[in-house]
Parts: sequence; C-alpha cells; structure tokens
Amino acid sequence: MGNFRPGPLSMLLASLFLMSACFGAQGKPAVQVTNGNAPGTAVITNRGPDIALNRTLSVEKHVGATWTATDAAVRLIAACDDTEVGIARVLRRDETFSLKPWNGWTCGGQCGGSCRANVYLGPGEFRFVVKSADGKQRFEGPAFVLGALATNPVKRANGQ
Amino acid sequence: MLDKSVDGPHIPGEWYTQVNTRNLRKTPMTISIAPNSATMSVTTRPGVTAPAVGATSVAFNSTTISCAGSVKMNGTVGDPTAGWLVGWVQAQWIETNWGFYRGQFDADGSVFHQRARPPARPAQACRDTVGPVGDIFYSTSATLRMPVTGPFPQTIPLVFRDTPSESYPISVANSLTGKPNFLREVQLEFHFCTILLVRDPANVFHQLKHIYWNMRWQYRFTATAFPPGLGTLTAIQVPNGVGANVSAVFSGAATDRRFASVLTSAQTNSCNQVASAASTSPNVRESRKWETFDLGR
Repeated sequence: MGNFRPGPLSMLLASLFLMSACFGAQGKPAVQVTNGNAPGTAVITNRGPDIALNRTLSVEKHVGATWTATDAAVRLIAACDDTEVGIARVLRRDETFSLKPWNGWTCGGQCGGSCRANVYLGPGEFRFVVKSADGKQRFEGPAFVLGALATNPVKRANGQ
Repeated sequence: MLDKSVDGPHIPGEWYTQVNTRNLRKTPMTISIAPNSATMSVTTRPGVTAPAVGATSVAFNSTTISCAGSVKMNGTVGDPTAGWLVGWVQAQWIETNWGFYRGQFDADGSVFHQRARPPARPAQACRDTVGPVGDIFYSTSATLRMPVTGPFPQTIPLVFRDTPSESYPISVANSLTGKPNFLREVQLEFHFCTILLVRDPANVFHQLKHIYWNMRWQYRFTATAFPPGLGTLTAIQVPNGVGANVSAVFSGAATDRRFASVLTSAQTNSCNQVASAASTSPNVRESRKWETFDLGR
C-alpha cells in the first residue's frame, strides 16, 4: 500500500476546514464566552455548528504575566438542580447558555456542597475557559476581578 | 541495597540511592532543610457559623482556619533545585455526618441519612486536597505550595487556609409512606491534621510541623409551617454540640496510625470527593412512623 502524502493545497484546505469549525464568520471563536453583569458570571454563545463541551470549566488566574490554572471546580450548569448526564453538554448552533455564577471558592463555588478542603482564590483577575469535550479546542473568556474575601460581594453559596 | 530515602531528612552532601526498575543510580542532593528552622503558627482559629437555611437546603458553613509556616533551605550556588517543594498535606481522620428527617405527622414516617459509615463512606481517613488527590499537596496554588529556588540560604514562607462546609436538603421523600419528610436534626464532626512539609527530588516527604483541628455542628430544626423552608425552619443548637478547636503546634512527623497511611500514598479520592459521594448516596433507613434510629449505622 502506498503512502499518502498530503500536498500543500490539501494541507491548506484541511487547515481552513478546521478553522471554519473553530471560528465563526467574522473570525471570532465559534464559542464565545462573555462576562455577565457581576464578577463570576458568564454567558456562553455558540455561533458555529453544534459542539460538545466539557461539563467542567477551567478557571485561570492572572499571576504575573501569565494565566495559571486553578483548582476551582466549576461546572457547566445553569442552575444547581441541573441534571448532568455524561461528560459533555452539546451547545447547539446559536444557543446561549448562562452559567450558574461562581463565587471564587474552589469547592462549592456555584451551589455549596460537601467541602472539606476549600480555599477562596481571590483577590485577583480571573477568566473562564470552556473546552470542547474532545479537549482539542479551548474558548477563553475575558478577565473579571474578584475582590478579597471581606469585600467580595458574592456571598457563600448555600445550595440555592 | 538500603534505600536511605525513606529515613527522613538527609545529611547535607550525602549521596542517596533511588530505586529504579531498570537499574540503580545515585542522585546527589546537596540542598537540605536547615535543622530546627521550620515554623508554624495558627493565625486565625477555626470557627463554625449557625446553619444558613435556604429555600431547599441548609448550609453548615465555617470560618476559615489560617496558618503561617516557613522553613529555611540550605544549599550552594548551582545546586539543582528541581523537584524540591514546600507545602502542606492534610488528612481528615474523623467524620460524623448524619441527618434525621421526619414527616409532619407520625404516619408520614421518618428517614435517617448516614453519610459517615460504609458503604456511603468507605473509610474514615482520607487525604484532603483542594485539587486532584494525586497532587499529594493540600493545594498547588502559589503561597500554599512553593518551589525551592535559591539563592541559599532561602527562607520560604507559606500560608494555609481551609473553610470546610456541608449541606443538607430540607426535604426528602419517604418511599414507605410516599410523604415528604423534613430535616429534624443534623450532627457533623470533621477532624483534621495539617502538616507542614518538604518534598525532595526523590519524592520523599519530610514532615516538619503539624497541628490537629476540628469543627462540629449539632442542630435540631423546628418547622413553623409546612412544607418548611426559608423563614419557616428554625435551627436550635444542641447543648455542647457546636464548636471548633485547634491544638498546639507539634514538631516532627504525624505518626498517628489512624491516618498516617493516607498522607502521601496513592489514593483514589480526595476527602472532597468522598464527602460529595456520601452526600449524593448516603446510607438511607426509612420508617413508616417517627422512629429513633441507631446513629452508629
């Protein structure tokens, strides 16, 4: 069986196809993550084809000149009683999803819960990162600021 | 061949053996922990707050325990610093966690949720980590875990914080009577041991200082209207059932056999994961009437 070596043209077409899947018509990412009115809130909009998103969001903190991963456990849920089935949540074309707000705690930061190790990550600058279920794409949200614990207006979640 | 790496802090300049599945090699480690240099203090004592009654659940929150620690590392210019880390390891070694529910009327029955006994909680002891339990350290965040970078001597400061919490639903269904049963009493006890330590490049953990601390809640709940919820469920503290405490700071390793085995060994789940699973799938016992349940099961 002979080896197939893609030529420059097929490489270019493949790249364009991949880019079109990841980006919308204006060159923006197909999945856009925008901040809501308060720190820790976000709206996720899909301007591309249906996409399976990982149900776990990453929260990154601006440390020095780089964005660093944190241990915050943030779920792709709109409400605390959302039923999560499987690791992926399909976001349909043009669907908008409002994230259950996150208050800066590593554990129970959206809905409270059973936490033994729990750290407040503020103060600082943070951003949400949404990932595709296959891990190949990441969609970064804009920065938002959480204050120190005493000044953070987001109250401790209590499961409501 | 003797593997000295398991024997605790090494002598500066000594050569250590590291067992490899293919061969044995020697790794020089001239960086060392300055003897008796470690410090640890509790900067904010732990505390508990009264239950926060919401529309559908009750939250048992705490106030943050904070500690400060430091250790001085010795070395010389050019010493390889890769693999040296200073941080915290925490074990939870006691958990009491049950909730008692009963219906509005005796014929509505009662339900007991046990979250601290097998199979809901397979074992009392677990390693308590903010992130993945495989990280070993309590947290990998800056200020809670620090690399050794030099120049030497280098004193490395750290902070520790923890704010445990628990939550119970106000209402559960009693499958025997088909009636909702409402939260009547909850008892929680969490006991921890927090350890300041250094990990060397051979993956040996040198425990330097440690404390014990705990927090506990026991409340009874009275409904003023049915179904109860925000504004209609009152929490009443059980005498001597609420508080938090912290020990003095002890030097050296925590060798308590009730939890020593979980401190740095391979573990499947963190305490957060263990507690979350027990919350989702507690041991449930139901009765067709108002029952007194055995708390030990």
